[in-house]
Amino acid sequence: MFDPANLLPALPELARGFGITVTLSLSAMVLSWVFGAVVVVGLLSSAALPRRAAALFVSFMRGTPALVQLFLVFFALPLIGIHVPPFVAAAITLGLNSGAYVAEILRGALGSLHPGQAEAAEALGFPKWRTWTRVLLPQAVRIGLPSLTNELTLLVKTTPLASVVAVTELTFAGQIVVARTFEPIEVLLTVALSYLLLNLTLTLLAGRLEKRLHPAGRVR
Amino acid sequence: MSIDLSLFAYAIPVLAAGALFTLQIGLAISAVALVLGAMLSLALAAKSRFITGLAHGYIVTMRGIPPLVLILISFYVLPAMGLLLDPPMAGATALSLYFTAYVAIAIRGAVASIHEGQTEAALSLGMLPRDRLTRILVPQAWPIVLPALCGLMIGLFKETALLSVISVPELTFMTKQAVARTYAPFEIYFLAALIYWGWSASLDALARRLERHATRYRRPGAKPQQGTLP
Repeated sequence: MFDPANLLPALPELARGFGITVTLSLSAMVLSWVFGAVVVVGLLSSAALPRRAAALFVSFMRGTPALVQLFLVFFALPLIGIHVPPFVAAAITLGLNSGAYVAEILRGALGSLHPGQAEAAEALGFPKWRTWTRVLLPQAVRIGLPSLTNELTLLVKTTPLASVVAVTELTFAGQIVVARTFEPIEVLLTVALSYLLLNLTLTLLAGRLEKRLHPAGRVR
Repeated sequence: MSIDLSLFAYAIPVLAAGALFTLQIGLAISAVALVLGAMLSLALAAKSRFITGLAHGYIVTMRGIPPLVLILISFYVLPAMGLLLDPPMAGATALSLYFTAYVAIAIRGAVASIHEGQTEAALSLGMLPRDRLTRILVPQAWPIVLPALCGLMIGLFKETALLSVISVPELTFMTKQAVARTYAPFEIYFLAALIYWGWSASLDALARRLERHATRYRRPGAKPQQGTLP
């Protein structure tokens, strides 16, 4: 049933798609950290406007499908005169979507920090910016690391959405091959297996990182 | 950018039909995933290492593969293997099997968080296995598992948007159709997003009410139910 002859000619195409999937995941991951950090500062702001705006953003991003968000970004950017390639639109959407979840994770982690941390920074005369970048966020990242790496695997599983705006990442590459050869079994199962291996590798690396960054500094 | 109102007069009925289909297929998938997930959580707690190993393998596999790829596999690969399903069935099968893994983890986690002294006490009181389950385990696991299950259900309704790729006539697919007719993508996709958003928000509100109800005995001043010991 599983005939390698149907798979071998498609491998270079699938490998290229896999490369794009990894690039897309990494770009969206970096964006999600930037967006997440900005949004969590808004969520915890003492001013009402940034707080409301951040809460509305998180609620929208978590309450609507990523696929619909992708269409919105893809069609909205040209309306305001910004023309970007599909890959960039996909990376921005996935970054915004995952950023909302990252913000919530960071908020939970920041909530578990002792208030003395911020007070001590203030007492030492740290400017607000430095308090966030040097005291609060680094500790929150350590505490939230298991959730952040879990969010990363979820992000990897969202990247196939980019196929609907014709980014030739792994899933779309597979679909193109299937449309040409009408032999779906080998190609699609290989695509699935590649994602599985990618996510298992990420989980393994994340486990190592967690050990290294353990809040107590070492693992007992 | 001016917004044409006749646009919405056309789009709203189309999107409403899609939203109804999303609701139906979402509820069907939830029900199947709940039943299969409960069964899988039993397998996770089985005595045989072989069965727990299989259950863990299933969960790792389902959690590692994107739902869209699962949908494509069930749409293209199953027919090639001789199992012919129409698009809604193929999509619902894929998403049910995907969410089964998450439901099983949620249930297993909730049951494992109940102190084993509870079961031991029930055993020492001579409770029947059925009573042990329905009067000791489930009432205590329910408030723990409820928020997780509601979160999964909200996630599930968002994932049904993926079914548009295999042309299941749910909300996102109908939105695409409406866009193809009107060529006003931004307005119509925004309308669809609002429908999903409202649906998520109402599920969230329902989840909070259910949670309050499930934990009512924890609130101070709660009256014991009639017919039970204080």
